[in-house]
Amino acid sequence: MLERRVGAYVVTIDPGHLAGVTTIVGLCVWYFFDARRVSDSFDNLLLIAPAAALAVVLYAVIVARDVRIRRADGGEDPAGAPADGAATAGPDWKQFALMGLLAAYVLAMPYAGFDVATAAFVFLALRLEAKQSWRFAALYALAFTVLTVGGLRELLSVPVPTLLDRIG
Amino acid sequence: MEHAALLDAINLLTRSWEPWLVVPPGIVVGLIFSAIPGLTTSIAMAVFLPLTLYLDFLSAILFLSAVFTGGGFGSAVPAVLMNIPGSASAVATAFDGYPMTRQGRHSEALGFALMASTIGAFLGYLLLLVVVDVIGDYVIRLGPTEMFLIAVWGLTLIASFSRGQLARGLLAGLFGVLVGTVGMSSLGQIRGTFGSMHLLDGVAPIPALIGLFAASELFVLRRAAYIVEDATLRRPSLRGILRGVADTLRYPVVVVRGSLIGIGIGSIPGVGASVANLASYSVTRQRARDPESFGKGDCRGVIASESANSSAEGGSMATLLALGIPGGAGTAVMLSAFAMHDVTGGPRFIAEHADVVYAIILANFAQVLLLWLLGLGFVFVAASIVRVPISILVPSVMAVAILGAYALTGNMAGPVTVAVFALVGWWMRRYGYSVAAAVVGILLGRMVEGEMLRSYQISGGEVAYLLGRPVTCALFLLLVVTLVYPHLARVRRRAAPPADSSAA
Repeated sequence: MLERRVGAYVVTIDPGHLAGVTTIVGLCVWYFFDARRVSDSFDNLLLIAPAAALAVVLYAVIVARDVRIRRADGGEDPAGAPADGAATAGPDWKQFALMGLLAAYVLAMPYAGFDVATAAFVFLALRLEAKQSWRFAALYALAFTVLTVGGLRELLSVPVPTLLDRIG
Repeated sequence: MEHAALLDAINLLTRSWEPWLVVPPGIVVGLIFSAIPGLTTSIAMAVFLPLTLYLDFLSAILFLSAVFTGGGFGSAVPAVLMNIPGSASAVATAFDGYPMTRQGRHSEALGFALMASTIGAFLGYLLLLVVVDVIGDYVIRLGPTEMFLIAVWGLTLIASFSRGQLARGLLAGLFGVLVGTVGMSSLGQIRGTFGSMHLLDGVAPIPALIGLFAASELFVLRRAAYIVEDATLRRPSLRGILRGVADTLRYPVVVVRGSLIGIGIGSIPGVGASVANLASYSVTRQRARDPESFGKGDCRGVIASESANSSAEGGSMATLLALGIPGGAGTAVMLSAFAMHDVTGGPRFIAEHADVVYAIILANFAQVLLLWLLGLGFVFVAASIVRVPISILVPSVMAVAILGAYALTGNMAGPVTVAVFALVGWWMRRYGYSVAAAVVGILLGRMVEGEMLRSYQISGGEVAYLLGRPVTCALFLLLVVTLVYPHLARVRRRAAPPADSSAA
């Protein structure tokens, strides 16, 4: 949470929430303008325009309810809205690390091959929790990759690029 | 019903037992494929379609319809156990099925899902048997106004998910609806694609829902040691599964209502089980005396969803058999199988091949019974997944979801979609936005816009046009009643004087 003193009051906001909801509503508004750029006909904007407008209204409501205001001397400001929302427990660094691993996995797949990327992801994710030994993690990652990527190659008619293909 | 064709069909099916050998493996294939996030029944049918070339026509159709039947239930298994719907038809199953698992009632939840699925499929095929020759007329008369109201019916779920956090829930739903409209519209206009060819067909809905539901859940779940914290409850219990199976029969209204909704909606081409399960869940929740119990492990939510998505199979078969028009990807593969064996689909299908039509329907009854038997074993084995430590489950399920998304889209758009929506879903869960509302919006957004537009164009903006369509008026009244009645009932209950509890 972020606190800022404004005159006789202290304003508290959650920057993570504010940034996220601003991004989502910003995307909705951008989508409206993108659709309007393609065509400003009623048919094209029939659903998008009112949906984007409603999103902006909801944004105002959400932000207004999310901002907490109290007196700097510790009293409650009767005009201040109580905090809305039921945020879950704060994330730990491992959660962010897992997200980073997932992103890296998806980015690496076309370049490193599905086999290497999958094995690396599973191995590193297992080691991240540090509940299994590195030997178990390595063996499991290998077996998992052979089963899943190998199975996928047999089942699908689309190419499943692997490093083994490139070497072979 | 043509009795002569029915007798011919019975003769066709009982002539030899050998064609039936393919049915159990077909059901197992359908169960396994639909239980793996990202892989679907239609992928299973497409993968095995070339093999059916070596079978005679009856065996080929029995095998593919068995895969179709098995797949109708399999997607419920990951929905219940891991909050990862195997397909869009099991989204609503996860709403209450997964909370039941976290409470240690996973065996019961799977039992409820299996029984509801079996009964729903049976009722769907029963109705199909009786009305297959008239259902084609009904389907052809449905227009965009009716389809629009059906989609709106599903969208009303967004409001029910928003209780207590109305603004956030509505924003999540709106965001989902707009995401669902990305790509080329029905007017041929390309919107919101960032110039990417991969988004021309829009955001792939299954990878998006896998990311929103599954991956985001896994980020949070990794803090726990197991899905079911209590070690004594982790063992899969056949007794628990059978208890769920038996207790399903205590909710006949929910089962039958869900089945009827599924049959009606499933028979509409392109709509199917993905809307049926949401609509059935929405109606059941609205009509319940205690709607606040839904989303917290209420078995009625599981029953409503599974009975609808399974009976929708019968409905989607109706358009295939009556009109030769596939209702979805699975029935499209079946139509391909017909063509491979020189059986032509089309509007004259039932007229020219009535014995084949009735043979398929009758065979489905037997498949439903086999599904129940094989499904019992399948869910018993599948329930063991709660014994796997979360530290192993999380990377495994994430990798399967990513690979499954690739299988679904055939390119990297699937995995990228899963990853992006995993982050969006995590953020939504963190700040109290309903992921379910966003998923409903994504699934229905394109349909809502398309049918709204067609309704507007056909009617010329004239409301009087709607009054001239009795089915539209009936659906509208039904929608209003299902939305308003529960509130009126609740107000009446609150206003009623309390019962006199003092002893005489």
